[in-house]
Amino acid sequence: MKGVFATSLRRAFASKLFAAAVAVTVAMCYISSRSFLQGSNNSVYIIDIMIHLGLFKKIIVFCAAIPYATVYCQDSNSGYEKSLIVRSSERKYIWTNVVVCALSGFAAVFVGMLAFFGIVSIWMPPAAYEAGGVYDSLAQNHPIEFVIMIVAVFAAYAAMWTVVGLALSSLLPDKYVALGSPVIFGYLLEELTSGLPPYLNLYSLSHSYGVFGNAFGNSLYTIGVFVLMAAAAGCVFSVFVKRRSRNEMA
Amino acid sequence: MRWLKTVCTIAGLNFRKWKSDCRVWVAFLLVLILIHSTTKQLGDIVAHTGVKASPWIFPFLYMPYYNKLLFFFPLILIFSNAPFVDTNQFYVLYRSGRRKWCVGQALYIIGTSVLYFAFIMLFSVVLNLRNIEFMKEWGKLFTTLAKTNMAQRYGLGFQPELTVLTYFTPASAMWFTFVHSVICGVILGFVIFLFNMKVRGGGTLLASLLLVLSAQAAKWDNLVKFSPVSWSTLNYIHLKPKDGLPAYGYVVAVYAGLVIVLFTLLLLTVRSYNFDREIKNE
Repeated sequence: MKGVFATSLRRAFASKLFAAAVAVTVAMCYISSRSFLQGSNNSVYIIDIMIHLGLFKKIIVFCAAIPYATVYCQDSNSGYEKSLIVRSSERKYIWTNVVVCALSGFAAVFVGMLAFFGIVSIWMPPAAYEAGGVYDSLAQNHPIEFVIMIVAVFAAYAAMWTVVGLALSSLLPDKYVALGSPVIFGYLLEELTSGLPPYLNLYSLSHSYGVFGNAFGNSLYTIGVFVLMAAAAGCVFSVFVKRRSRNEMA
Repeated sequence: MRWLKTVCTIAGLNFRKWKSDCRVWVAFLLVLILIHSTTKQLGDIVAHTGVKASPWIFPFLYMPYYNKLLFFFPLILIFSNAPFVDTNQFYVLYRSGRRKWCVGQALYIIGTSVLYFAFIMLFSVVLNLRNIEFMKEWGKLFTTLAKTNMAQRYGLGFQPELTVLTYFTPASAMWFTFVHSVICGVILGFVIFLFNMKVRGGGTLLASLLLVLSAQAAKWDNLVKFSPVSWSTLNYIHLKPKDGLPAYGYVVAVYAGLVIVLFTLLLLTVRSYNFDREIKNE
């Protein structure tokens, strides 16, 4: 497992695509928050406002998919998948890809958004901020930790949809399916769950709205839900990759 | 006549591939999501005011720079595989000749651009049928939205512009936005086609930079003159006195000039283009 995992990690993180994903994330952060940059002097406010922009979320989900979501299509179309499975095992290949895909998606968004936060903080130092709700005391007392927390939840959300993209690309091995399906299914599922209570409502969860009384519990629950959903997508990926590797699917 | 038939067949061949092309399906699904996401708050506003909207959403749909960036992105996705060479195209090229093949591909770009914006226009109405009342005028709701900050308060993804409501009839605003958007799409398509022949992926990158330029032009008015993507909507064309935006004559001249220059360059470049390289990369 270690060998396949290390190779996959190198493939995901030491690639131009990962650098491109981080750069695009930073650029999109700037373009999305530009109208707020003029009227503010607090970088924490900028990040909080930006995360709540509906269209921004869709682009960021797409950015998260750039580094690694297309890996299965590449492997499957080039035949590299067979060599990897022969050298390791089906199970190792599948779950390594799921984990690395989630990690790369998470890292692309997390690093990109924190880099943007760092750049903006040069001109607008982070200061105490009235976030309201369960995060209020954290944002007032520890603004930087607050930003790290909401960005981590947001990155976990993006990473979860990246794994869904990977899973769907095993059903339909096309790189555009892998890149586009996280955005499409993310939106559809958000709309479908919009009427459900906050602990099942994907829109509320992605925005770290209050489900529990404290900030830490809230974030932990939200990330937990995303990990579970990513694991479910991983199971779907596993079923289809196994079927494909055994020539049960065209 | 036979020449035209050949060119149309070459363009049609690309359209026939859409059925099995995931890229096109993904692009159109993304557009549907964007339209729905931009207009979904209209229902809340209609429910609150009790006044239904007119169906003329399209001219305002991608007026904000951010929406423009997003609405043109799927079109770039569709054109990203320009010069549309696959193993089958080699036989087409062999039978038709380079010039006819190039004109056929250009016709495909024009056709795709028309279909793409017609799709946006159609679905901006279809997805909001419940909140729309068919009328010839702009309607009370759009006038209210243009004069107040109601759209912002309800989180509506677009805001009708008062200058457009004042200077244009709904039909003319729809027509001009459609034509400008199509021309803009054609220019982006030609840029991708031309520069992808020079450097693989170079055209797609350049077209993406043109979109970014349009976003930047929203902040710096001086840049609007150099950003053809910005002119796809009427809010970046000179309507009011001293608004500092390019005049309509300038916009038409630059659009026409760009289309002619790019098309000529395409015809010249395709003469020396190495198709074998593209087929090997397939």
